[in-house]
Amino acid sequence: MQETSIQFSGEAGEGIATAGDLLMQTCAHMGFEATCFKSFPSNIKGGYSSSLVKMAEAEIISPLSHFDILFALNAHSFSINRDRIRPADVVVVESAIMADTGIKEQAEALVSEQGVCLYQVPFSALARETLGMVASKNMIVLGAAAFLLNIPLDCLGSRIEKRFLEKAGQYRHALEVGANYLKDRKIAPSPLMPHDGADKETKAKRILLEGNKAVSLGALAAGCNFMSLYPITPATTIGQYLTEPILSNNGSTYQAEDEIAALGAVIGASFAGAKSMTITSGPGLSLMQEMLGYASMVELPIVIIDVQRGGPSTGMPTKHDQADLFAAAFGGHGESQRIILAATNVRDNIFLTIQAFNLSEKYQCPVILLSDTSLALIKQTIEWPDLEDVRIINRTVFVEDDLAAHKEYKRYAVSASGLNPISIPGFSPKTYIATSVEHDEDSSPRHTPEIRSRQMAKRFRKLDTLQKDHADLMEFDLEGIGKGGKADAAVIAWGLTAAITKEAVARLRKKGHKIAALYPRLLYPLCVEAIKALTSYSDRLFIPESNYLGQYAKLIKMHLSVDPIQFNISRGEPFYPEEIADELEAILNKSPRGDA
Amino acid sequence: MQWHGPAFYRKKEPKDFRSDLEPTWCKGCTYFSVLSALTRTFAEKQFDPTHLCVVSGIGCSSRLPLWLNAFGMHTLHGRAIPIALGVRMVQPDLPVIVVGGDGDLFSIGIGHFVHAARKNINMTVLSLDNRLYAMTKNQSSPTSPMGHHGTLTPCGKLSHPLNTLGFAISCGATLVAQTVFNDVSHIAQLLSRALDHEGFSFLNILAPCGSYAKENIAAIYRDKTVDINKDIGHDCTSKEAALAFILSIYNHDASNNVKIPIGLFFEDKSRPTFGKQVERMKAQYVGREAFSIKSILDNCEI
Repeated sequence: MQETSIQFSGEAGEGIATAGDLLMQTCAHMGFEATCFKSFPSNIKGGYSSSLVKMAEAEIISPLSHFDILFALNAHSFSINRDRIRPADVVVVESAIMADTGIKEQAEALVSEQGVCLYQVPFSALARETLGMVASKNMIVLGAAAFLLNIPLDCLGSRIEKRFLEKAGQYRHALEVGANYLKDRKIAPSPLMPHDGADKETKAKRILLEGNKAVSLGALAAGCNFMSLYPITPATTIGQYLTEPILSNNGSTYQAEDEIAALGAVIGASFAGAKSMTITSGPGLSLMQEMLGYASMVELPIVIIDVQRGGPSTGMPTKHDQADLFAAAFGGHGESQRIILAATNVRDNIFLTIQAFNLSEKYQCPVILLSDTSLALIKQTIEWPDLEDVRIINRTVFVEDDLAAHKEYKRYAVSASGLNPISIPGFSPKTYIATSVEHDEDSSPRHTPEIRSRQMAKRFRKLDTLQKDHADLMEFDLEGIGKGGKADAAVIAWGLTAAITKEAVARLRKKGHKIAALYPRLLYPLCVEAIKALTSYSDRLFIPESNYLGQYAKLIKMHLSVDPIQFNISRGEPFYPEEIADELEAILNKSPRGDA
Repeated sequence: MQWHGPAFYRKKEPKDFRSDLEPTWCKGCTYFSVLSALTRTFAEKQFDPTHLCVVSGIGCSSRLPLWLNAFGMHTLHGRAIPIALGVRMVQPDLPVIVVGGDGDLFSIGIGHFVHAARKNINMTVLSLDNRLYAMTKNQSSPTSPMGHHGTLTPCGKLSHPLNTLGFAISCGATLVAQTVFNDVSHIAQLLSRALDHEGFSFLNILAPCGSYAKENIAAIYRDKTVDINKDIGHDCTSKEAALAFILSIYNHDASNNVKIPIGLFFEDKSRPTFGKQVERMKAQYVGREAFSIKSILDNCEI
């Protein structure tokens, strides 16, 4: 697990994100695996912003972790990260912040008491004096970072040339200013990243992909030909990435007047035969609830991507939370059928989006894929995804040839599987009404106790085979535990928390703890069998979740008589692997083996 | 998507557009004449039931698609328009008709009306205007006259009714017309015109509720109306003239001893429909390799 992490923190709008992006791209081009995790305020400009870049020889599981090198470009950035600084970390601060005696004392204490390497660089002054502009400060920062990481400036330079063209010369100079400032003060580069400086070409074909872009790729691969949405942070960019490709595929896109209309258009489009999708975040999902019930009632395939953000209400539009599980699974009145999936990393965002379409077409019901603010913005190097041979499921359409076998077309026939072919206007030979009121097999509005009971059972029965047919959506990790063996603890984590938990679990295993883990991508309907299987390895079930209530743990408690140990945070930032490892380790140490 | 269903050799009659279901409207409901006008017009145009979509919201009038033989969507209260728009965008050649009541279209659903009219989405919106909420047993709606006694307005409705015709024109509807329930020929005539119109067409059908406002049936009757095209010679090509005319007669019911104007108030054939513009935009993109999955991946390649 030889990884290096560097965090840039400062005022939003100062180019922090750009610095992180360029560093990550450079590392990727040098042959490393790299990730970049961004956190920024809900303003256009101003407020605290940070960018965490990780680089490693092998695959990076968790894009979040502790930093080895911290760049604090203003006093606030230093203060809020101070408690996270560990001995032997390298901390680079803007010299100007040391004018504050309080900060100066704290910084000196870090050096004297913890052995932290603290470097002061007058980034703002350098930008003003040597370049005559503050705007290129981030390039000076990047130059300093490259120097500390022992990355040749030429490697960064080629990235900058590609991105900035005209200003590249000036920015290249800024890189040198940053690097030389440290070099001139005889500061030694950190030995964290040994390499020869040349781009490595031995690796398999890879891409550098952002979470939201991954969703758009999945939608295209699945054959999505209608998308409608209402702009909402942090989901909008998926729509941006998708609009032109969908048009080029002869599909249509529609920016609706609100989320109700967006999902309405998607349902209408699905009725007319399109593979359709909407993209939203929490507030939009709330507005869509009645429409979601309609899609379930008339059994039309639709896909909703919910890029979760901090709620309730407007909440924290640019901040992390994974608290929409209940709204996705149970929101709205009555009882309706939905399938809820959750992505754990950038790659999942591609393939689970494809799965979302497949499952909606197969089971004729809404599928909601949960992503989140952090995952939306995380960029990650991944293996080139093969999107040409993916398995695509299309709905069964009622066609001319079916007329011979079926005298009558009954859209809602009480069939064994609960499923029936769908008639498409302008295409199929028989019409039907998609009515939101309870209906009989021929869609006539009737609600005698018998008809109601039969139709309810029919609609829910459709999902009976879901768990069995899609066991691959439940990822078990039983490393070091034989079949029928025992573990010290069982762990379940979903969404981005799963990726972070994987790293925590790896750390604990290194210390000799036996851990059985389950990373569900199908959250609801709850895969009871998989959870039973996991708890057979240990009674001690630990579930870290990025929401206040521990929604998945509560869902499990609804179905099974287990009492999970919950570790919930709802602070607008994701977990760090260290936190999960520490929490679980403390639990394990309390009673090393057996029951807690 | 190409339709390749069975050929219909037989000439279609109005009854071919009726479903087997018996309407659940009250006996003598004014909506029956709208149903007749619809099936008559569909037959006149020799529409194909499998190539026709009628979308409604919730309410007495929104039950209408259930009595028709055509593809139908009986959706949510106030939400027919965005759903119909989705159908229309995927199948630009399919006639799409929205049916709603005054509460459905102009109270809960008014936000959608504004944008569909503004964008000139190619659809025909029929408002079955009975001036109250009937299904929930008589409450005031946006088109109820001031002073209307509903179950939630014991001292009478306190606000003015919405001027739906003027509103539709202001929003950007490109065909706006009004007709009255007991002249099936007139409804069919305007309906036919609305269906021929390329763009957002709005047809307000005055159809009082016989159960909760019986007195309106006598008051809002064909003989209390004036045909603005035949009798007055109204110029329906001018937006200004149409708006001025509508404002001058706003809130004038037969109760004011002024005849209720019916007919085609406004039609603008020049504005391109949203769908046409989408097609034009699409033409710039279709088949462009730069937006293929492979190109996107190539751009992400390290």
